[in-house]
Formats: sequence, structure tokens, C-alpha cells
Amino acid sequence: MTDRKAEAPVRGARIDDAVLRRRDCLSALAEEALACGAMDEAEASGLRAECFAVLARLLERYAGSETTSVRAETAEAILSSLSYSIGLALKTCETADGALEALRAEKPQRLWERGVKRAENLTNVARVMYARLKARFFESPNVFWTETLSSELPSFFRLYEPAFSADQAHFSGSYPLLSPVREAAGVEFALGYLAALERENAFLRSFSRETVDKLLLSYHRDYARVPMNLCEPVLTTACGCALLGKKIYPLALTEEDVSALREKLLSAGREKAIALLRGAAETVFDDCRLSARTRAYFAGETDRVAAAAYAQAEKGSLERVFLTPRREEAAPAVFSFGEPMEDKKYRLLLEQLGECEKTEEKLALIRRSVRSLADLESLLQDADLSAAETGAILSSISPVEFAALGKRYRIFACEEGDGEDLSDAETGLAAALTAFLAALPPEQQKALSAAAAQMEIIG
Amino acid sequence: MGQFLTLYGSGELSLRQTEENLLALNGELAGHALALSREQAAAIAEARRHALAANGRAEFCGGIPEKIVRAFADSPYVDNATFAETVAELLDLFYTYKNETLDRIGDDDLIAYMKKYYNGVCRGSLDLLAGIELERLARDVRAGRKGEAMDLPSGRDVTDDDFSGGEDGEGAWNDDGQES
Repeated sequence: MTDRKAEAPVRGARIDDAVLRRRDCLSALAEEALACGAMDEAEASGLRAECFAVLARLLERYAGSETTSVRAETAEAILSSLSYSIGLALKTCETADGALEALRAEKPQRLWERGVKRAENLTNVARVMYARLKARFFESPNVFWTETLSSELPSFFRLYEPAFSADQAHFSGSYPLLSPVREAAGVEFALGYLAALERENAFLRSFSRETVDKLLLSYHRDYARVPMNLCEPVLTTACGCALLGKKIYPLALTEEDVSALREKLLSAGREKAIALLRGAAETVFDDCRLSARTRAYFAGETDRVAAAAYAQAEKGSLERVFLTPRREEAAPAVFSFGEPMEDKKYRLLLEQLGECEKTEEKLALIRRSVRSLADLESLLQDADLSAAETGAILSSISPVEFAALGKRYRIFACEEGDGEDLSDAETGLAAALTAFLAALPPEQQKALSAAAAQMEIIG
Repeated sequence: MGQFLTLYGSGELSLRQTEENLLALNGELAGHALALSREQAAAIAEARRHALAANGRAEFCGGIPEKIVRAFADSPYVDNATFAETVAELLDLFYTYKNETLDRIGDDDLIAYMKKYYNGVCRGSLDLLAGIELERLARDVRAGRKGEAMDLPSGRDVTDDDFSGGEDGEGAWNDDGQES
């Protein structure tokens, strides 16, 4: 530090132009200038003092004439905004060295004013972009996609205040972009986010809403409520279609196609597979007639997407990235347990069953008297039946009736619930149903489970 | 990457500057039989720095210590022996109640309010000023009754509650405004 003070600034020292793309350009520029000797500590101190004089004026304007102090966090936030605004003005310079010269030539107050003016202009550009996007926004049930447009971006326009909080965007961008906005704050973040959203929107609009919906449903049944990027699964699947020479627009890969893709990618090896997918992406971009900018946006992510696809191929789970559209689900079959008999008749039946000495007599009586599954269900719980008698009754009912009973007592693996809300009698019946199911051949068990899954029970 | 501009240790008025500004008031203070030594001025400057930090505030053009010194110099409850210490405590109260009143009261109004009650019902007691009058002000301001709070007549009668601390027995005061 002391040595640097003694040295004169090295005029003409080259500063990396990358500082102009940094979030806090002023800090990055000053740090680089100090590091390479283009600025010395004395000059930096003078610059800081001038910036603090601007801060004092800003705080006075913010707090009003009646107060001379503010909460420290307020002062820090305004200081951060001041630094960002000066940086925004410096970013208009073509080179970092030019920005340093501008920092020397113009007072921080003037640079701040220029930065605020630029933030206001960029906000107007963002407004135009937003209106254009809103008019042509791809319809999707995904709430993160829709909320970003309907509430997050409007909050930016409502709350953005270049004078005191130029570096705050007032929205987080909860919809995850394929290529996140990096090193940006304030209006630059909003613009970057809008530009990316515009490109993703253009890509999605190449496909029909129904096609994308069907595809994303196979990615996640509840994708409407999942914070996920909508383009990546579509792009990957489209690449899969292109790689197999299929039309991309239906996004209709079959399970056989996925197997063929697995074979193709694994036999090519990682590097060649990525190159193949890169080529397929180019075909997709051509087919979608993407603009140069949109194409560049997606091309920048193609290698990452391709590498992820290859990794899934190696893991044997390529169907996670090359999606097969979800088939239309048939409407569930409604099954009714029917009307129970009158209480008086039911009590009489229970008495008669108690008097039967042989199983055959009980089964015959049940066959004669019971007309609904609701009554049979009650009898299985209330009549004092042995395991063999219960088994015999369950053997006599149809598979659909058994599936309905099984669904109600949640004996199938796909049914949710742990049976904690069942009474003792119900628990006993559930155990009998489970034992009966377990004794059936696996194919029959699978068929009953599938039937139960398609069933909606009433009564 | 560090920040080129940071709040701490750069933009705030230096201790030395505050000290000099306070010493420059000695001419005016002489009229009230008061004077600040360099050590006392330095102590007040340090008290200001500490009060700002303790209350999480940043001051952008200073002047509060000088305003408090000027405002309280004619108080019947200050003397040369305790003046610097009183000013230091008033500074802490000032920044504390800038926060407590949610910055809704201007500097001059708050100092005038403090002076009115310190010289009035509080009879020179900083504890009464803080514990009763400034607390009430903060409560009223937070409840949206700023105007009402600021317009109380200076000659408000001292009630028993002011001195007994009410039913909870906290803060019992004698007639001199001292904690008993």
C-alpha cells in the first residue's frame, strides 16, 4: 500500500475490458486500475471523497432537509446504488482505459447523473420489450413461467427507482432461465432477463401449446407447479427427433426411439455424441427458423444439454431427457358399492349366518341374500367368518369387485395412506384382502392394481 | 472483488473535525459560564461516533453535537462540571429516538422537544427524559399521533405516575428527578 502511494500512476497501462461487464463496474475498474498501477492510492482517495460528497447530497435529498442522519443500511443501499449508476455511465465507454479516462475527466456527480439517465432510458427499452413479449407470450400452465410475466416483471416497472436504488431489480426471476443472467443488477438484470425470456418464448412458440404440454407432463406430472425451465426438455427431445431423422414438431419420440438413441450415443462415445447432438441442435434451430440472437442463446447451452443427455445415456436413464409424450389418460371408471340393505334385514342375515354350521351353507346364504358390494363389505367385517370362509367369499367375487375393495382398503402399492385411520374390523379386512392378493399370480396382481388405479369409487 | 466505496471510515465527518467545531463554540458558551476543554470536545466527538454506530446510523453532514451544545447551553440544569457528560448522553438519546420515532421527526424538532422536557417536567433528569417523555413521543409517533405528541404544552403537570413509576413499581423518582 505504502509502496503504491509512492509510485506515480502508470498512464496507458492496459486494463482488462472485462471490467466493463461486471455488475459493479466502478469497483472492478478502480480495483484493476490500482492493481496494474494505472491509479494510485492518492487518486483513489480523492475519488472516494468526491463520491462521498455525492452520497451526502443524495442522502440529504432522500431524507429531506430536516434530518442529517439515516439508518446505516439506508446509507449503504444508496451508496451501492451510487456506485452502480456511476458504473452504468462508465459502461458506455468502448474500453476500460477509456472508462478510466472518463472517471478522471468527469466529476462523480456528473457520472452519476449520466448513469441515472441511462438507467431511465434502459427502463423504457425494457418496457417496450415487456409489451412485445406480453403480446406474444407462449401459453403454459407452469406458474413460474406465467407469474414472471404477470407479476414479477410488473413489480420491476412499479418499484424501480434509478436515483436511490438503481442496482435493485425488485424481482428475483423465479422462472429458471436456460441461461441465467449473470453479473447484472438493477435495470441490466431486468433487461437481460427479458431478453432471455423473449428468446425462450420464440423457441417455445415454434411448437404447439398442446405438444409442449403433453411432453412436459411426461417430464413431471405436476410440472405446472415445478420451478423448471420449459425449453430444456423440449430442446433435448427435439434434438433426439432430429438425430433420428424424425420430424421435430410433434416431439413424438417412442420408447423404441429412446433405445435407438441410447445405442447411437453410447456407440459414438462422449465427444462424438456431444458433437452429434450439437449438429442435431443446429437442425432444430433451422427447422424452428430461430433468429440469429435466439439461435446464439440456445447454442450457448447446447453443449451442456448434450453432456447431460450423454450422462443419462451412460446411466441407462435416457428416457429422463429424451421424453416420450404422455399418453392421454382414460377417464377413471366409476365404481359404486351399491345401496346397502335395510338394517333390519342385515341384522337378520347376520343371525342366520351365525346359525349356519357349514361354510357351504354360509356361502349359499350370502349368494342368495347379498345384492351389493356394500353389504358384502359389511359382512366381511361383522360376520364371524374364518380365514378360509373369507378367502372363499373373495374367490367368488369378480376381479373388478376385488379391485374396488382393494382400492378402498389401500392394499395396492400405488395407493397412498398407511391405514392408520382404519378401525380394528377394517384393519382385519384389509389384512385378509392383502393376504388374498399376495397369493395370486404376479400378472393377476399387476392387473388388479392397474384396474384399481383407473377406478374411482363412490358409495 | 471488494467494494471501492464502503461506508465505514470514509465519508463520515472525522472525529477531529467535530472536535474543532465544538471548540469553536466556546465563545458562545462563555456567555453561559460554560467552556469545553479539548478533552471534553474529543469525548463528545467520540460519543457521537459511538452513538451513531450503536444505533446503526450514518450521518452525512454532521452538526448534531454543535446543535445540542447550543440548545442546552442555557439550561438551568447544566453546569461546567457536567456539561460535556450531559451532551454525550443527550447525543445517545438523540440517535436512539431518531430510530425509535422511525425518522419521522426532524433533527431540530427532536432537539427542541428534548430541551423542552429536559428543562420542564424532567427538571434536568436524563432518565425521566428518556424513560417517560421520549418513550411517550416514540409511542405516539409510531401510533400515528405525531402532531399530538409534539404539541403537548411544556408546562404539563407532573403526575404521581411520573415519579412513582406506576403500579409496576419500576423507576421510582424523588422530587429532584433522581432515581431513589
